[in-house]
Amino acid sequence: MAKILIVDDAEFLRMRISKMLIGDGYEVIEAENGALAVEAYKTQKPDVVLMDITMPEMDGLTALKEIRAIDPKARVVMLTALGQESVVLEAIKSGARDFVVKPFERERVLSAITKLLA
Amino acid sequence: MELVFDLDQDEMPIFLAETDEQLQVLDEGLIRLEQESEDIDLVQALFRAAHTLKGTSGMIGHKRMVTLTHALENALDGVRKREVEISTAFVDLCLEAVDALRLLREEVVQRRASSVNVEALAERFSSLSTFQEDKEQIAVSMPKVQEQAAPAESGCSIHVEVFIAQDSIASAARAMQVLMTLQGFGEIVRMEPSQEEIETAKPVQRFEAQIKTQASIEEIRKEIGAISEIEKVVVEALDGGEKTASVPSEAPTTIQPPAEAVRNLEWELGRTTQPQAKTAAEKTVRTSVERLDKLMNLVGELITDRNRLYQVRGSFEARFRGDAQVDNLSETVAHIGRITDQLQKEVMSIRMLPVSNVFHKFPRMVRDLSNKFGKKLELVIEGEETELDRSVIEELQDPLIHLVRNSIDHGVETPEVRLQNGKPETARILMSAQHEQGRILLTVEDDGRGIDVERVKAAAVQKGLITEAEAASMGTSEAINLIFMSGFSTAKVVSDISGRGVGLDIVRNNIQRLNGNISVETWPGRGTRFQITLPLTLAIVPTLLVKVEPCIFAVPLVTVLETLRITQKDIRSVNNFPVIVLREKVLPLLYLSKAFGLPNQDASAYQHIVVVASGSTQMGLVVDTLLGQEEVVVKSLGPLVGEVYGISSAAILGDGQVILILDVQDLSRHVGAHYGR
Repeated sequence: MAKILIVDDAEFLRMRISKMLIGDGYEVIEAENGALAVEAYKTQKPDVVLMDITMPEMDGLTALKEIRAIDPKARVVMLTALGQESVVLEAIKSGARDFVVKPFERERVLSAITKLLA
Repeated sequence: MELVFDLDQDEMPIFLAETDEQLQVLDEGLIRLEQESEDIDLVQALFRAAHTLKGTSGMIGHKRMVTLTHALENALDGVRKREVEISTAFVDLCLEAVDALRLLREEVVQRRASSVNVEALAERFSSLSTFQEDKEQIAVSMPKVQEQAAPAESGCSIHVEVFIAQDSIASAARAMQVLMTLQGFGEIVRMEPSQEEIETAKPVQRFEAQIKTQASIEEIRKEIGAISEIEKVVVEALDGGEKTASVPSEAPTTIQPPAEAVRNLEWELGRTTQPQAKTAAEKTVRTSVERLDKLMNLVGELITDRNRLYQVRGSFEARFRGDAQVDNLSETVAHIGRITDQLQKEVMSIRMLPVSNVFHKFPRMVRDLSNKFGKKLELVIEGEETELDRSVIEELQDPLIHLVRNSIDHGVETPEVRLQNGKPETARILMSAQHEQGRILLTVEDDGRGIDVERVKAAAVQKGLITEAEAASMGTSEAINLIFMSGFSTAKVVSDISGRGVGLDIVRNNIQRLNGNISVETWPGRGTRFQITLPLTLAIVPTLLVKVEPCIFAVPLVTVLETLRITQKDIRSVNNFPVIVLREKVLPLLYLSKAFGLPNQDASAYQHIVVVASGSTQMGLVVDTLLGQEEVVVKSLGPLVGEVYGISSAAILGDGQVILILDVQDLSRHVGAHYGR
């Protein structure tokens, strides 16, 4: 089963998405900031990364760029909120494959993942 | 009406813990912001906290909480842009919002609406300035994705028209996705809007382009259609390539992103200006307090057994000295002993929390009180990283709150009085914590007027706590300690800061219940210092074991000052009460045999005295023999036994013997009553 890396500094969000994905049969790994996400990407090679933007230590955009540098084929979906239009745009230019706006519905997240895995 | 949130019972603790964490960040940070308004990292951290709260409350469908956190987030954005000035009023409003958020958090627990008027608060935020919602949309234009390349190579011209969902929050990003996908197919010869326009991040509802490509119409439609939030895609072949001539030639210059735009980007990313060093993964697991308590109890049992093993080993060694099997046993017992020690240390360290968990509440409290009472205060906190067992931390909050309130109410003068007395207008309150020889020292100190000994005496006499004669003969330190007596309060008016019928006596009781001690020092006109001494944990107490035939008692080591051996003739009498003179001070004696109704102690040549302190009262416990120090695992006496005079709890010794742990505080009250202070 596909392996998904969830990156968000908010534990509640990670838990919520984990539950959602595990319920659909995905394998889930979590990271609480960008730096840890880059580490996790190297060691665990997830199929899809769900990446928050505003995080301490290393933000999502930087982490996206680092992950894409490691693996140009990396499939990263940004998790974003209102008021982050410029960052999302920048993320897309930097190779993010999709973005989902918080608070998101289950279907939105799942469909973003299925699309990328297709 | 019951409120409904999208949240399971098992998700609740995480939601609450995280919310509390962020609210605390806001609470503390906002107060710091008042002083350090130039600290952009701080503003950034506050923004992140509001942002996280917004995200989390959105996930559970708490709309009112989203509205308020959004308003707060915007306000902090305004601070960053210098559109909102950091004033006391601004910080007040933010703090009010934080308080309201606490109530909204409570709604999630209670499932009942609180009285918070979110709209009114949000309204006040939006009236702060005009920054609301019209975030500048400055182009963050990085090097262009593609330059308009010159001559078209082979392939047919295809026209693509894409409609992006109206409700997309970042339709420009979708347009960018379309653009990049098209670039993957071939060369873009014309497009509307232009890449520069897209990069301003302004909404894009319709995107149109003409490309030269080998790909089929079907392929293109499929790829573009797979992009999220694309409502409609029209792909059609164009005849000929004549339109290429009419391509508006855009200057292929690379636009440098304006500095402000980069700052905006950094801001949205939640970046701090200084890169933080710490990136190493600290892998953590959350666990419940109950589990930790269970673990601690088990370790406690293990320690009792270890002590027991030591004794058994001792008797085996005595009987079968030199036996190889016994040597084996001894070695194993020693090893188990060491492992048990390590286990205890590890488990205790898991239970440790930094004192900051209590201290962090104080900046807010001090700020509120100083505003309310027109006193100027500066709170200095030191050693907040000092760690204590969580059970102790939890019990510490109320006593500390009381002491700080007490300092503000009684200790600190008004700015006018301070200036008259040649002191700085702003008073300083110091809270500190430090480790010292397996104990924790906590200090609450102010530079206020100090305690007026004569007023204390007069108040005590007036309240019938002491007689006038007693007051006259009373030494200074003894008199100051009257403030710890129950029924004592020098405040003329019961203010709502410290006077709530709760006095320093309750504070002292609470501290002593934790096997701790509190003392006070004061310097007239210069200030007062309360010092609390606490053990690191409550579950295991280092004690001094003493024998009073036929019983063994454990005296908590935290109360023991020294042990003495005296002869019968050293004992004097004051008011028919036995005392000794120790370093020119009178020390009342308490015969434990008398206190507990045991057979009379032999008036042998020597007497052993354990000098103990409770609060600032000292006394000597007369015992038969000193047995030595031992760490005992505290067992409560249980509801069947209930409260027993002079005894706090029990413990089991290595040989299985049950012993009683003395309640020194209780005993000292007894002495105080008889000896007449």
